[in-house]
Amino acid sequence: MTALTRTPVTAPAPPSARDGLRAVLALARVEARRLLLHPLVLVSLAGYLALLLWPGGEPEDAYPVLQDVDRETQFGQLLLGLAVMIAANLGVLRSHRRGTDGSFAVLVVQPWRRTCAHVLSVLPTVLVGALIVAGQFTAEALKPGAVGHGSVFELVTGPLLILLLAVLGVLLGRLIRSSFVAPLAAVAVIAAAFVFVADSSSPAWLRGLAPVLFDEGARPLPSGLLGRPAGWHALYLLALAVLAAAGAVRASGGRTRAVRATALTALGAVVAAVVLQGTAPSDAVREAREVATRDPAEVQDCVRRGPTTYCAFPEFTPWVDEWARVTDRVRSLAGGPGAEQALTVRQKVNALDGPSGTGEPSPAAPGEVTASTAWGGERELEFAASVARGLVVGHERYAGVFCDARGVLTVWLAIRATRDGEALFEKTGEGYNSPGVIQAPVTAVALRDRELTVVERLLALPRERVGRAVRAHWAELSAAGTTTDRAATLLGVTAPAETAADREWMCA
Amino acid sequence: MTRPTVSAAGLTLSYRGTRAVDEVTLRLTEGVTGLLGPNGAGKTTLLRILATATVPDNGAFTVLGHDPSTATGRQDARRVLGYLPQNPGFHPDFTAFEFVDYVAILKDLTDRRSRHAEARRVLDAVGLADVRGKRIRKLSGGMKQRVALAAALVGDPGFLVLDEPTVGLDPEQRMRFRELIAEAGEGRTVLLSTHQTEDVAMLCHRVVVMDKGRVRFDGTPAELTAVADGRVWRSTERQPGARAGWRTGTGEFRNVGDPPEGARLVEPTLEDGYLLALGGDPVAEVAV
Repeated sequence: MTALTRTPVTAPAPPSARDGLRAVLALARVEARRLLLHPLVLVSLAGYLALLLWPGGEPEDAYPVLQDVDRETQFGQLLLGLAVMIAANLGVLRSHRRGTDGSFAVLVVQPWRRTCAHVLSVLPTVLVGALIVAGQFTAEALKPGAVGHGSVFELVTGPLLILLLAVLGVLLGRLIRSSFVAPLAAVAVIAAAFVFVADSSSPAWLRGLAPVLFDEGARPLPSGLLGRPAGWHALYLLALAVLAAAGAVRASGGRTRAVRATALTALGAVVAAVVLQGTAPSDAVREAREVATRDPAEVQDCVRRGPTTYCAFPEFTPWVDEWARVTDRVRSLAGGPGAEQALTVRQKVNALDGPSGTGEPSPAAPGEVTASTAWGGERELEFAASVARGLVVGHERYAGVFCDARGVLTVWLAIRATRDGEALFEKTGEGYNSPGVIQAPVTAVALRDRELTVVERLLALPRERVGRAVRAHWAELSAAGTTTDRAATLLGVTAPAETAADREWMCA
Repeated sequence: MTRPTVSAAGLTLSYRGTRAVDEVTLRLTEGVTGLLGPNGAGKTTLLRILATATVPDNGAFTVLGHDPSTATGRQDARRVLGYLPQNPGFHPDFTAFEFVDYVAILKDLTDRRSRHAEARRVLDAVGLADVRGKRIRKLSGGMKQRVALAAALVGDPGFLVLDEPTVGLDPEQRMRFRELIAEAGEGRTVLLSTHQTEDVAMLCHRVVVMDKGRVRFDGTPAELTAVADGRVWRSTERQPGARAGWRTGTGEFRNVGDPPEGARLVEPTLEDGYLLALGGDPVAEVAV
């Protein structure tokens, strides 16, 4: 007798439902490992992690707003999900592509159970996606400058996207035996996502059908004003995944009552979630947006530091110290009356159109300056310009570019009161294709080339020397009638002659 | 008489109006049974029916007491059979071990430790112990075929269906494979479809000849050889009455058919019997 000779074996015990489940789990384990180690998944994971861990970044990254960070986790998950969709599809089609259909057809575990295993096999990859989201969000939340609150529903949206796309890959593999279909579906998903996003005028329920609810507004909003149907969207994605899984199992012969019941329940949940997404935002959220936009003082916390009062939406109060640092710097550069002038820094938003809104808040009342809901880097320069303008000009209404001493003074103060102010000012100019503009909250502070040249000449001088001159001539420099030539003279530089291009601007 | 392990009665299956399998009745017993027949004879279709891959239009069969016509019976039958199709296919990026382990899962071997032990056992048995960690795409054709045999042997099936397993193998590999099939036939029922009468002569205790979907012969290899008793002769020239004839290395013709008076009869072989068992139809494709 040899190794191949049949040894008498006892008759196998009749199979039970538990045996079937054990086979499904055993197969799911094998498929899960193969899915996680699929080159496409590994490459997308590596690319995704490289993007997250890439050193550098913007200065604003040190001051994350967590109700935006949670949404920002979703796009990377969408890309990972597309890779998993294709890999899962190839896993389902493996037997067909490699010609093992014939021999596998007579094996004990039925095709529908194999499909169940493929569906379950995506869960570890979903877990990896969830761990990345958790890591990404935790790293942001632990930054000293972090403010706001993340939403669990927004955070689970990314992993649910991976689940949905992977299960769609399984479903496609069971419906169409071609490995070209999943990549085409991936393109379709991307197209659908961006078409829905591009057309922000679409009804809410229609936008809710997109895999990711993109909202790219001008500035972050307090979390209570977002009004995003994140919970219903998460339910929509989950129910759609379950529906696709039930469809895949049914397509491979699993026509049990449990599969039918699951499919019907999931279908009901999908419909309910779509309808309920369309009802957002609630009336309470609309009202809160209205109040926050028109009368923010009603919902803000204020704190007084010397002659300055800082009023912020409660989630943003940790930034008051940062605002105070910049404000105090502007005041110390201004000296004299500028240093003592009473001022209220008020955080403002335009929340009327929700997180997609791009409108600016209305100009602050006299004696107030506006702080935005973003901080760090250029935002710091913009805030410094807002404070300097408040001290020099006294209002935020836009009446044209500053063609006089006030513009020179405001911009010099803003740059000198900001960390890396010169570099940021240069960068701001590049960004707006107009070198003399600082996008201060509400309205920009803009200079003509002539005033800009004076500022550049001032920046070339020692800060203390210019500072002494500013403090000595504050009243004249901040007066509406003082010309640019006079400002240059007072501050120890010369102003270039006014050009024809300069004369084309409307001056404030 | 030995008790049959696989019984089939009146199996019929038609494809587009053609009867691929036509009223086939079989009783297989332990040991290796050869299934001979020309291309298109219906061998593969019959094997697919017996392996439960295809459902017959008519007829019934049992595998080790299980009736595959019911869902439960089909599952039970699948638990006791191993099937190596003509083109088994492989997952090239799996190692030999991973592939056999995967098949073992699909054969419902769920305990990880005993499943791995079983995968190692069958790979050892087919002589692939040294390469079980190697990716299948890096194995030779003969090794791949042995991986497929190992996969068919997972779970120690009582009924093994092998569809032309030696096609494409070089003589040495074919010899090695014959050893494996002979070993596999000890204690289990093996149905071996082949074009090679040598395989049948060396391995089988019984042979079935099929043509045009029907069984033309069912008996021992000696009985098949005996069909040609007195019907094989030598001549110096090609004989018009011969159903097949070819010039041998000695320069003489060897003829199979109805010999003329006074012909120099020679000992028949299994192949002669096979040619004659195919009936009155031309067999020109094997004649030289």
